[in-house]
Order: sequence, then structure tokens, then C-alpha cells
Amino acid sequence: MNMEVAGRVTVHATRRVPVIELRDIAKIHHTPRQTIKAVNGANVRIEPGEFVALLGPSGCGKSTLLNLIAGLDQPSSGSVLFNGVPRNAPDRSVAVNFQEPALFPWRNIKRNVTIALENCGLSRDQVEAEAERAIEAVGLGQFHNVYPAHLSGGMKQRVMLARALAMNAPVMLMDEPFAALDAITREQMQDLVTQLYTARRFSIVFVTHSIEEALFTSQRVIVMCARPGRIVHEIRLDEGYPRTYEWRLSDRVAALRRELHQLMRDLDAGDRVTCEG
Amino acid sequence: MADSVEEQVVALRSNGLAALSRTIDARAVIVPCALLLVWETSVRLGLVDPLFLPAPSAMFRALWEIALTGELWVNIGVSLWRIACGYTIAAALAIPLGLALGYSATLRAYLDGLLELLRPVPPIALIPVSILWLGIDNASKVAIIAYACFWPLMLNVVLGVEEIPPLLQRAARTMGITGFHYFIKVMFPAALPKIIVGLRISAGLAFVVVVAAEMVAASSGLGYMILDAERTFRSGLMFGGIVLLSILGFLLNSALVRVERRIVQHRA
Repeated sequence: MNMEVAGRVTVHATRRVPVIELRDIAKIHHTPRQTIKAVNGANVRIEPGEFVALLGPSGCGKSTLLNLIAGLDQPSSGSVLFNGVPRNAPDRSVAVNFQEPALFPWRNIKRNVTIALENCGLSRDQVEAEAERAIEAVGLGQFHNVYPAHLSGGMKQRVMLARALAMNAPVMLMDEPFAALDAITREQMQDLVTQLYTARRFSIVFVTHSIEEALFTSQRVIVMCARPGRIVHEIRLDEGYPRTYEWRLSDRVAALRRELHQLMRDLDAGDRVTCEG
Repeated sequence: MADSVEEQVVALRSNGLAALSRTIDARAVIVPCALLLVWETSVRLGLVDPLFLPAPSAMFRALWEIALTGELWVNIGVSLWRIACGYTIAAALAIPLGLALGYSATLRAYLDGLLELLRPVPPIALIPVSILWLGIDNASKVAIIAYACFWPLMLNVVLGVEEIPPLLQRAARTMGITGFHYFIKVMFPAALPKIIVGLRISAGLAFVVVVAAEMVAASSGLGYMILDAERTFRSGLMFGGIVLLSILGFLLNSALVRVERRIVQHRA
């Protein structure tokens, strides 16, 4: 249903209708002892084919926003729109990669990818072919029959990427997917994501608490801060894709990194003042 | 042609033996064998009265004698048949109910009180009830075995479903896996290791309960055989029956362990 809408809208009104729109989102968590404002007054528009990073410290509500976009959670007020249509439940138009790889331990790599394609009207051959293509694209072509227990953290995240690719969803959400990886693997995975993005141009919302990761990978960095979670800053990067190693080391990235570091330190200090006050 | 069939049978047998020897560590056999040797020697040296503790050779002779008359096979067959029926009924009830209870908090809320009240009743305490209601034939034994096997199995199934990581549940939702597909593709395979644990515990209980039930009121089965041997002062057969139970229980558990290993081998 949503896929059809996606097709029609993107053909006729690509520039006007964002693929994801968050309007005045507030999310309040009620616990027996207190009420926590996880997110307050968030407005975000994500254009079709855009790569956006949500950057902020732990507890700033970035994962909450991601869950709202995924449809796994409902906002306390405001609305989440997918191609202009309200979105209330998860469906196959938005693929989600969690921080922990959500792999089914009883299925090998290939079947962990095919599970996303079964029962959606494809023939068995089509499902197999799609899965093989996606697994090839993330560089795991030789590991079809390996089970998750025997994979490294980086390989597990590659399988998650393959599954998301195979779903062919117009939007991919990534919730700090590489936070648990070592520095080198992490860099490799960032390169892989930008390569796949260059080739496929789906929309990506990438949640991270790493300034470097946000700058290396995305076109737009949305900075959030905590208590209550809100959007405080936005940076557009004009650098095209594929991203090169030179980009990582460029003066522009270095300058932006300094700027964002300073901003986040200031926010943290201000935060402490308000807390103490 | 006949040769090839025979070869196949031989191959099958040797495969079976090889499989069994893989399950049993050779070192584990040493101690029981040594114990049997000490036992046999002490009886033969007159250190023990054979009426109270017959020699292993006397036990096996007693078993061999009733094996030749066919009585042994009838008793083994009857007991195994009762176990198979009770066990199957328990599985057929406990697995679906456990899955439903694990899945639905509402159902759990309604049934928890009843289940918690029934669960502590020892199955053996229900033997008189089952005899009153179902007579002394197979039906009463099967019912008691089913009742005994039901609990550990159902509780393990519930646990298996409750322990499905929320991450996998959320991932399934984002892939549009819901309803029946969720049940088949996520819930059942995720709960399977715990289901098998439940099946193993139940199998052990089935053995305990069938013997107890057959000792209370029966005219066949291994429990009856052991009790009857005791009443007629055939202590060789009495102990033989007990050893036979140990061997049968061991074989059943080994088979279930093999099934378990095969199913959960990828999850280590």
C-alpha cells in the first residue's frame, strides 16, 4: 500500500513531498516515579535519496526518533508521515538496522536475508536471487551457509545491511549500527554504507554519537541534545559520493569536526547549568 | 540383490553403533563395568546373600529366561506403548498451550491461577483417581503419564517463548512478519531449544510414572513385572527389571540428546 503511494508520489512530486516528515513530534515516557520528555518539538524533513545523520550524546532522544520513524513506537503528540501519509505501524517500506545485529541464530546467512523476502509475493527463485545479490554486494558471497554464531561483529552488520538491501525499501534506518565495532572495522563499514548508498540512493537516517562518523557518511548532520531531546543544529555537507579517504582527512571535515565538538561541549555545559539550577 | 540389501542392513547397523559410540565416551563405560565385576565377585565369594542382592549374571539369566518365553518383550512393549501414548498426548497439549501462554499475556492472566494450583499436585497422587475414573487398563496409565509429562514441557515452552529476545521480535515486525508467519518463522524456532529441554525432562518423568502406576494396579508392564518378581521371591528378575529400566531410560535420553544436538548445533 505504502509502496504504491511511494511510486506515485515520487514520480509527480519528488521535490515537494519528503519521504519522511516529522511534524512537531513530542514523546513522553511515563514511569511510576516520573515523567520523562524523551523528545520535544522535533521537526524533520528527509528528502527522497537523502543521507541524514542524527548526531547527539546518549539520552538525547535520537533512538526514540528512529523508533518513531520505524513505526515501532507512537509519538505522544505530532505526526510521522511517509510520503505524506501518516505512518502508525512498521512495514516493509522502511528497513531498520539496530545497534545489535538482529540475526536469527537458527538460520544461516542466506536464510537470514531471505526471511525479509519470504511471503511478499516473490517466487522462490526470485527470493534466492535477490538474497544472493544483496549478500554479494556486502562482500559475504562465500559465506551463504555460515550461521550467525560463527560470524564476527562486522560480518553480522554486513548481513544486516544485506537484508536491508534485499528488502529494497526506499528508507533505511540505522541505529548506531557500528558502535560496538573496533575502529578499523568501523571505518570499513562506513565505506561500505557510502558505497551502497552511492549505488542505490535510498534515503538513510543514520543515528550516531560519533561526530566523525556523521561527517564521513552523511549529506546532512542534525545535532540533538538531551533533557529534553531536541534538535539544536543542522549542517549541510556539499561533498558528493562516493566518499574518499581524502574526504576523511580534508580541512573541511577537520573544521566541521572542531565546530561540532565545540557545539556539543557548549551544549553539555549549558545542560549542566540547567540541571544544577 | 539380496546381498546388497544385507550390506545395507549391515551398514545401517554399523552406522547406528558408530553413532551410539559417538554419544558415549568410552571412559564413561569403565566405572559401571568395574562395579558389575566387583558385584559379581562378591556374590560368588559368598559375601552377599543372593536373595537380597543376586549376582549380575543371575539377573541377566533371569531376563534371558523370560526373554525366551516372550514375557519380557510383552512387558517392555506394554510399558513403552503406555509411555509413547502419554508422552504424545502431553506434547500435543503442552506445546500449543505453552506457545499460546507465552505469546498472550491475557491468556496467561486468566489461566495462571488454575495452572499454579494444579502444578504442585504430584502425578503419583493422582493414580487412585485415574484408576477410579479409567479402570486398571492402559487408559489410566496413559492419563497419568500425560499429566506428569505435561507440566515440565509446558513450563519450558512458555519460558522459551518469553525468552525470545525483544530485538528479534522488533526486527520481525519491521520485516512485516506477523501473525501465522511470526509463529512459524520466529516464535517456534526461537523456543525450540527450550521445548527440547522440556521433552527430555518429560521423558525421564514418563519412566518414573509408568513404573509407579504399573506397581499400583496392573497386570502387565515393567513395573508390574518387578513387583511380581518381588512377591514371588525371584530377586534375579526383580533386579533385572530395574537394570532394564536404567538401560531403556539411558537409550531414550541418548536419543533425545542427539536430536537436541542436531537442532541446536548452530546456536552455540
